[in-house]
Amino acid sequence: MKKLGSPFIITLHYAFETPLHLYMAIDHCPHGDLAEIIVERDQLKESTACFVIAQLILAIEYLHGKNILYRDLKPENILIASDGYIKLTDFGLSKENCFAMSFCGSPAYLSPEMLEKKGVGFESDLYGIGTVLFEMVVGEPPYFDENMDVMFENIKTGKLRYPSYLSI
Amino acid sequence: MGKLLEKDASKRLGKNNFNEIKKHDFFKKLNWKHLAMKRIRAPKELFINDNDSDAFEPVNLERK
Repeated sequence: MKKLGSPFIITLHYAFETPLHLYMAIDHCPHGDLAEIIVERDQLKESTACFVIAQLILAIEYLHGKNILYRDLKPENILIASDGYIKLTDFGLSKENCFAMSFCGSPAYLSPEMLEKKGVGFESDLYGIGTVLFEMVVGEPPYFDENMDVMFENIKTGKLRYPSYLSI
Repeated sequence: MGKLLEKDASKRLGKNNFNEIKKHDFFKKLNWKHLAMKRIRAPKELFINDNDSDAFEPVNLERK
């Protein structure tokens, strides 16, 4: 995490540990994360989504350029810094290789290939960008259902539905 | 949006390179260089919890 240098990825400035805890000093992000913002506003304007998603694309492009898969894209992992720009955070799941054969990520944001256990490649992060975009402009993740089996089945085979007023 | 959420990973938008996504109409009005230099003003919608001090316990700095 410390060696990464993109303006849209969180910087670890300092870390230390005590017998019980690990402390990490990161960039100050007073506006919380994107999930909190979506809850507060219900959904966001397409122009706002454009601003955020474009930065997310640059951050993921940077990581892929370094052969790192992010694998856990979701609004909670996108912090908003004091200038309103994003800081991608939480690299607990990212891996420095191209093809990771494991089941990971958060249920509502899993890509079809993750659910089929086909292994994930760089394309899974593209799907992840799509889920964040969807949640910003619709207000909930794609195929969201309280019944997880139904949601997983729809992620794999369901037709994507969203309001027709959206331009995208 | 549907092209990013394409179920078949081999047909997903951006599969070949990120320019496929950047050139999409959704970003037509965006200046990518200005964005990378942070010269664009962030949308007001993104500013919540503006009270920085909430995250910290008040500390009494007076010494006796």
